This record gives sequence, C-alpha cells and structure tokens, in this order.
Amino acid sequence: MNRAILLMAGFLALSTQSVQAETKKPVLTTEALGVLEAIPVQHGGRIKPFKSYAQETLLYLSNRTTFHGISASALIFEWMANPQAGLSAAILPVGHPELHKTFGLRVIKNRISAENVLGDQAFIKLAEEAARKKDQEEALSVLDEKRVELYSRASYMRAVLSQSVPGMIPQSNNLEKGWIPLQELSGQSAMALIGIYPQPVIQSAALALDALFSGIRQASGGAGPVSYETAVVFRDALDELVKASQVPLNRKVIHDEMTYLNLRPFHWAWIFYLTGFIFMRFGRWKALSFIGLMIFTGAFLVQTYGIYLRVVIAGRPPVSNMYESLIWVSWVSALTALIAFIFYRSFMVLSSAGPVAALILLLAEKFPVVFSPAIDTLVPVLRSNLWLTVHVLTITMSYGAFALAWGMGHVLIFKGAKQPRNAESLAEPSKFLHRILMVGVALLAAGTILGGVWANYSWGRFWGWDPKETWALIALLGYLAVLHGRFAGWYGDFGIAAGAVISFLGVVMAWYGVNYVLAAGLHSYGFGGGGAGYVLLASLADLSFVLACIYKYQRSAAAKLTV
Amino acid sequence: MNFLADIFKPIYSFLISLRLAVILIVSLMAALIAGTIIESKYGADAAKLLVYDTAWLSVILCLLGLNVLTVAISRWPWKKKHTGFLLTHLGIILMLAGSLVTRYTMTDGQMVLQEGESSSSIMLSQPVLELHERGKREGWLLPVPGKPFPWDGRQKIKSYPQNGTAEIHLLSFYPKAKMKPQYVASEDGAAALEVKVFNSQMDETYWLIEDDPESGMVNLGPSRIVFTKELLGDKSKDSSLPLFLNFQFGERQIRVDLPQDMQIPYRFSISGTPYEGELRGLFRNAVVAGRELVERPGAEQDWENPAVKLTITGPELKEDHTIFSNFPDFGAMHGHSKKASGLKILFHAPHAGLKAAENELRFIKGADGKLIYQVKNKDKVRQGNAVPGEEIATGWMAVKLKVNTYYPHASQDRVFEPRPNTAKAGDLIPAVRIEMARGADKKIVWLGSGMTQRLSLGDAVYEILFGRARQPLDFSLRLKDFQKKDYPGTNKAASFSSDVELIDASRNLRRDVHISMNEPLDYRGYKFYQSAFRSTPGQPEISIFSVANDPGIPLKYAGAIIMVIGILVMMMMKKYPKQRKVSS
Repeated sequence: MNRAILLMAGFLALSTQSVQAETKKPVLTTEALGVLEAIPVQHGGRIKPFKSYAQETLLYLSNRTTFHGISASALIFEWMANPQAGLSAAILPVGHPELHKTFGLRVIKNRISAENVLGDQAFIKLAEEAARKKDQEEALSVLDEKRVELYSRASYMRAVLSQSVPGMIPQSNNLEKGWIPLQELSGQSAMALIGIYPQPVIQSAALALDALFSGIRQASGGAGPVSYETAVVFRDALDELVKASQVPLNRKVIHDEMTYLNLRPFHWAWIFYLTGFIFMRFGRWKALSFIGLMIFTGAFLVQTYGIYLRVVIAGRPPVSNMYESLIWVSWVSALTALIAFIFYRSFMVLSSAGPVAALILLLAEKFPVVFSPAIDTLVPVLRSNLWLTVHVLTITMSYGAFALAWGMGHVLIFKGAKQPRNAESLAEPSKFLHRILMVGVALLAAGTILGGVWANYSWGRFWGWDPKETWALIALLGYLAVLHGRFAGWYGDFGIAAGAVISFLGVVMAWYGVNYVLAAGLHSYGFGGGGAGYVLLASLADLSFVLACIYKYQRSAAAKLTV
Repeated sequence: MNFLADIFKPIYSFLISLRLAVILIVSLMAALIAGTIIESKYGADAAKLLVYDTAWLSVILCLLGLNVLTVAISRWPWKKKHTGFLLTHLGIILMLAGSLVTRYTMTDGQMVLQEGESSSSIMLSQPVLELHERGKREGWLLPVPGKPFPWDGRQKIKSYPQNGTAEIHLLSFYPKAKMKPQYVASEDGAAALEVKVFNSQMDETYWLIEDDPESGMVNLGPSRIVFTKELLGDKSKDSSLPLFLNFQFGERQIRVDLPQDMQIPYRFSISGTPYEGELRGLFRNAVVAGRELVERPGAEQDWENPAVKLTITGPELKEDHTIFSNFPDFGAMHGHSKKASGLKILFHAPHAGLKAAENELRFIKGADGKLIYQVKNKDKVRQGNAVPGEEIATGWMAVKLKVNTYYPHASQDRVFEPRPNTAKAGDLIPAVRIEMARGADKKIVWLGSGMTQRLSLGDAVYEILFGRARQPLDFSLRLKDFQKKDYPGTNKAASFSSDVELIDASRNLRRDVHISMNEPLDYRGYKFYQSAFRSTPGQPEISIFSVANDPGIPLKYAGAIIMVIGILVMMMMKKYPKQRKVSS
C-alpha cells in the first residue's frame, strides 16, 4: 500500500511534464502492438495473452471494448507508461443520477476519471461503508451498489496504473504461486527479484521496460510511435524471465487465444448467417439458394472453429456462462437446421435458422456487459465431471432446437396470417416444425433428467425444486401441452406454429430469467444482472405479434378451418 | 370392463381425456411458476412450505399419474404402434411413484464438522424443541411447525409431556431473526447502561455492559465509548490482570488461576476431580501457521487472540485441548477422540487492547454504585457524574451523549426481531417464542436456534432447547483435515475437500476417506457430500457435508430411462397427425 502511495506521488511529479497527455495518435506501431498483445500474463486464475487481459480490463473499467477508437491493449500500455494520463481520463461510467450530483462538473459525458473518484474523501467513506455492508451480505440500495462499483473500478484503475496487475513474471517453478507484476521490475523493488532470478536477466528486463515506457511517453508527447524492435526487445526480456523461472508455459494455447481474439469467429459467423439467409430468402433462382446454403455452411464452420478454439483455450466444454451458452445454442440451432435440410431438403428450415443463429450471436456480441465474453475459471462444483457436461450440453442443445422452432414458428404464423386461405402450404413445414419440437422435447427431458442424475451424484438428491430445474420442467410442460393439444386436434398447423413461439417464453425464462431475474438457487454460478427490462419488452412485443397474427388468421379463416 | 365402464363412464372418460391431461399440465405449470417466484422473493424454505411440499401439489401429481395410467390402459389391446406411447407414459408413472417414495422416506440433512471433531448424527431441517425435566431421565422432542414467514399467533405444539402436566404453545416463529439484547435490573450481574450518541449527522443508541468483551465498548471512528472498572490513567492494575481457566464438568465449575510468573510447561491439578492438567503453551495473539498454533510475530504485546494449549490427564484419559479465549466454542481437540464426559474449558484472558484511545469517553461504576464519566480529548481528561437524562458534551465533532438508562446490576433478556427471509447477514437465526404452562404457573421465553433456557414452573425445573432435529447414525465421522485450493494468483476456490475417518464400531471398521466436490462418501445407504466450508483466520477450519439417503432413486432412474427410450421410439415411429376439419 505504501509503495502504491509512493508510486502515485511519482506519477503526480511526472504529470507536470505531459499536461496534454491524451492523444488520438497511435503510440505504438501496429507491428509493435501485435508483439506486445501476445505476451503471456496471469490474470483471473489463468495464463492468457495480454490482449485478452486488456479487453477484459477495459470492459470492466468502462463497459466498452475500445475507447477513442484505440484498442484496449494499446490503451492499457499507454496508461501503464503514463499513469497520469490514465488517472485523469474520464472513462469510468457514473451510472446513477445521485452520483452525477455528487461529482457535478467532474463528470464528462456520464464518465469520470479515477483521479476524481479517489480524490473525493466523502465519496470514498460512503463507498467503503457500502462495501462493508456488501461483505456482510446485507441488502444494498441501487445507489450503494453503484458507489461500490465505481469505487472498485477506480481502485482497479489505480492498480492497473501502478502496474500491480497483471502478473507477468512467473515465480520459479511453482504454478500455484501468483505471477509477479511489472511493478516489481521498476525502481528499488527490483532488488527483491534478484534473489529469485539471475541479475543480468532482471537488469535487461528492467531496461527493456524502461525503454518501452519512455518510448510510449515520448510518442504521446508527439514523437513517432514505438517501433517493432523496442517491443520485441521487451518481449524477449520477459521471455528470458519465464525461461529462468522454469515454469512450463503452453505457448500453443496462448497462440490459439490470439487467433481467437484476432479472428473474431462469432462476429463473422453472424454476418455470414445473415448473408446466407438473404440469398436463400430473396433468391429467385435455385442457384442463389444453393449459394445461400454454401454461405450458411461456411458460417457454421467458422462458428464451429470458434467454439473449438474456446474449448482448447479454456480446457473445458463451452457452457459455463451465459455468453458461452448463447454461442452454443446458436450453433445447435444451425446444426439442427442443417440436419433437417439433409433429411427434408427444405430451404424453409434453413432460411429460418439463419436469422435465429445470427440474432443469438448478435445478442452475445452487442451486450458484453450483460453477457461477459471473458473465458473464466470454473467454480469447484463445475469442475471435471462427465455427467455435468453431458447434462448442460443436452439442455442447451434442446434450447437450440427450440430456438429454431421459434424462428420457424414466426415464419409460419406470418404466412398463415397473410394468406389464411392458403393454409395447405403450412402443412409440410409444420410437419418439420413438429419433428423439431419433438427433438427439443426429447433433449430437454433427457437433459433435465441427466441434471437429476448429476444432482443425485453431487448433492444427494435427484430433484430439489431448484428454480433452474423447476423452470426447465415448466418449459418442458409448456411444449408438452402444445404437442398434446395438437394431438387432440384442438388446433392445426397454424396453432402449433403459434405454440412453438409462445412456449419459447418458458425457455427464455429457464435460460435467462432464472439467472438474471429470479437470481436464486443452486445454479448461482451462471448469475449476472442487467437487460431484464429489454428482455421483458422483447417478449411482450413477440407475444403481441403472435396475438395479432392469430387474430388476423382466425378472422379470415374462421369460415374454413379450425385454428 | 364394459360393465364397469358403463357405471363409471363419465368419470372414466374424464380421467382418460386429453383435456384433463392438459388442464393438469397447465395447473402444474402455474403452481411451479408461483413456487419459483416465491423462492426468489422469500427464499427456498418458504417456497417448500407454500408450494413444493404441500398436499395439493401431491394431489395434482397423483391425478396426473392416474390420468397417464388410465390413458395407457384405455388403449388396450396394445398394438405395436403404441410402443413409444406406452413406454413414455410408463416412465412418467414410475418417476411420479419414485418421487412419492422420496417424499415420505428421504433423509436430507447436514453434518458440520470442525477439524479434529467427530460426529455420529446428522442435522435435519425440521425445527424441534428439546425438553428435559430436572430429575427425570427421559426428555421430549417436540417438532415445531415451520412457518414460511415471520408468524405471531398462538398454536398448541402437539406433543407435550404425556402426563399432561405441562403445556407448550408456540407464540412466534421467525424464520430469520436478529437478537436484540434487552437489559433489566437484577440483583446481581454486570452493570449496564444505555447511551444515546448524537450530533447533527448521527443519532444512535447503544447498550454498554461493564467489561463485556462484546458489548463493553463502541467504536465511533477515531473515538470510542468504553464502560469499564478502571479509571483512565490508572495503569497500576494493568500488570495484575487475572488469567484463569474455568473447567465445567456438567454443572460443576472449577476455577484454576494461572500465576503471572508461571513457567511453561505449567502443571496444575483440578481440585475435586481425578484430573490433572499441563499447560503447554500460552499465546497472547495466536495464529495458525501450517497446522501449528504460533504467536503472531510483532504483536506479542496485545492480547488480541489469547489462547492456551493444554493436556488433561486422568484415569484412562489423556486429551489435548486448544482453547481460544475469544472463541470458547472452538475447543479444538486432538489425540483421543473420546471426550471427558461433558468437559468444557474456558480460558479467561485480559480484555483485548484496553489501552486508552486518543479520544475516549469512559463510564466507570464508582464504589458507591454511582456512574462516573471521563472524557479524554487528546491528552486532556475531564470527569463528572453521569446522571441519566443529562447531556454530556464530548468536545469531539460536536458529539453529545446522554445516558438513558443505568442499572448497577443488570441481566440480559432476549428479544428477537424478524428480518426478511432473504436477508443474508451472518448473525440471523430462526427464533421462536414459546409459552410454557404448568398448572397456573406460566412463562414466556424467546429462543434462538441452538439456545437453551432453564424454566422453573411450580415445583419442576425444565431445560428447553430450540434446535433442529437430529438423526443418529450407526457410525461416526471424524474430520482430520480440510483443504482448499485456489486458482493460481487469485483467492477464488478451485476445489475443496476433506480427509475424514469413518468409524463403524458395530462392524469393527476404521477407514480413511477423502471427500471432495463431486466425490461423495457412500456408506450404508447414506451419501456424504462436500457442500461448503467455513474458515476464520486463527481458528480450525469447519467442513460442511450434506447428507442424503433417498430410497426413491431406483424407481426414478428406471422411469427416466424408460421414458427417454419411449420418446425416441415415438419420434421414430409416429406419424404427424393430419389437420382435422371442423366438420369432422
């Protein structure tokens, strides 16, 4: 702590030299940035490239993935080299009208700098009080939550600037130990490292660090950007430390993660899915539909590759948080559509799957604050268990099938409402829909039961009325009611399509609602917050669309057909 | 069949109708949705009491089972095309039957073990009152009806002593409650005062108990309020603070004073008992390093976490004890697992850190019982008589004090306040208010979970304890070691596990078992799961296992497998039903 204060004092002294620190000009050449981004760091319980750490950190600090068009890695490096610039940058979201009032003119475009937050003693006192309450698990007001959030963000910003995160130097031959941050390389504290590493290695690393940071400072002062060579010297110096520590490092995984971050497979997948959909839906000729099919398949392959990379990086199946389950469900809906295409040769199924898969991927990409894309460590109960993996994968596969059925349902009820007299045209696609619903029911039933098997194995009871399992059952019952109603002949092809759309609300609740709205029960490892209002609005909008279609269909078709 | 069908035709055709099936499915959905919302708002226990464990939910499930069964029978004679349908519905029936078996036979509890301790019973969730009458051998276990929400009323607790001499009523049940100490004047007991602290920004009221380790002092940022025996600046007593051990053998208490200048190891005898003790270590500020208790370096002067290590020897007995002064319930025990009957040891050490703070307001009970106050402001000390109702200016931050109540001798009375079910603060426990009557004599008492109260009614004396039902096991578990592993560079747990010793005397079995997350111990129908842990620096760790025994499992598994096979068969064989016309 004392060291941090000393460092802060150093920063303040530095700041007099660079009054106008913030600049839109790049401080690192693209090549130099590429080298620095790939440096392995330890953060959040695993080894990852610096780029991954930087993106998570910027997202945590600012709710955004880039700032002023500068990438997260470049920004973090710039701030570490020139802490005053970071300290005075207004990037922390304020997030509450009351806090706006507290900070007044210090708030710029709803954001405030860490310096202003940490300089306000009265605010810190309130925030610490709220944090103490939170530690004791007392209920917090929204304002208090926001205070704690802002204060911890500002404190984390300070930790980033004082280079006390992330770990960049492994400790000798012990994977359990935390890595040593760059802070220890600079100034007097480097002496502490001398006992662990050969002195020349430390010295050259300290020199390389100094060269890099002063290069960045000069660049932000107006000189040219830091060169590729400087970055390489720094990377190699850190590499020497890693080698000296004899900590085994899986460079292939780091490389894979860089590929994953640079390729952005899920981003390209949704673009391809939509393109494929446009070709299939609006293509007048069969040839265009086939091009659409090719593009759709390409999107599916890109997504598959992305999921493969994530599995390799994390070393576990990709369904441990909301983001991963979104990616997975989108993939399963595309897969189901492709399989259905092989069986039925129906472009209708494929062209419904395109927007569904793309929409789910878009949700995951556009709301990183709600659905965190970070690859996180697992809580103990989720580690290495076959039943659990099979259970979660099966359940989420059923969500994929139901999502596809939901998309098809929309197409069919829209058709039905537009041309109620031509109801025969619904017959064939609704047969596919029925099949897909049955596949979903089988998967959801099996997945829920597998959950029971796992719960029995892990907690000693097969069924415990946990909200997640209860909602899985409610969703299942909803689909069963729809299928039985169709079997009883209470409604026909149009009705089952409407049922497939409405029943999906149960899935939305089991999947998203339990974690984000109810937030209770044993499945707490997937919990998060945010977006509940939007989801409710979207659900209501969807429901009114269905009701409007039903109304129109019924009115025009009453004379001829059952509903 | 035809004859029966004729008589029961309306009932039968309703029972086999799809309409009933869909009605039941939809009402089940509605009930479950309500259940999850209740759980989210009021906690899992409330949801169980209001929805999941109710008779009406069982009725819905039984009707569903009956419906499925009759529908399956109605298709007689069965044909090949019915295979999938029959398998699916048979699976559902088996699963429903399994859940009924579970409902009425399952054991579901917890075992909480501290390192070194052993236990041969599990704690269930059913709240109970344990009642003992002095001089009688048997006691009574009275189940207390659980309530989903804080409840006040009057409900007779069914079983009471069979001869009908005493009657017990439940007056309040709070699933989560906070104890509020209330003090009343008494013949003896420590002095107590209620003080109001206020300035323009704050207004708080505190109870202070003379020299009480918990309630003897209130910290107010840079200043504090203390109620003690010593006057400020009176350092002479500092060196002669008493150190003593208090041995409790059942009702008997024996005090053993420890001289200031004793040499360690220090041997002593416990007068009136065949036991002898040897003090092997004395710590002013104990911390656990590795698996050993050591003095925290650099803090030897303060009595922050005083502890002693001692060995008790007697006939056929040799026990090691570690006793923390601040945590009397954490008697970690090593060596022999057999405990001396009812032996409890308390260690009294000087009150931690009673050095005067920079700003301090000190209340002292004078020799004549009158209350004196001293205000210390940096180096200046003022003194006066504290009269209840009169304001005392402190001179720091315009804070004023007012003594509301002062009792030269006070005793504590327990009162509980209800808190929301979902409140999570650590000091919240279930609490009940009980009225116990014997003839014309009647007493009302508050009991928090785990608390005991002695009640004398007429010529009888009762001990009453509020707790949770326990189920004895035919074997015992001893926790040898608890381990927690973190993800490298974080304090997030990656895994935790326990090394336990399984002891089954009836089978002459003694086995070391490792229980970790997802790797339970399965023994004689009971499964022990590593579910949680509690760890406090300087104290032995506590491991929490959930324990279950579910005889319904085979039925449910069989049903599940049959049902999934049935769905698969249906998917492969069944034709999509044709759209029906209105006219047909």
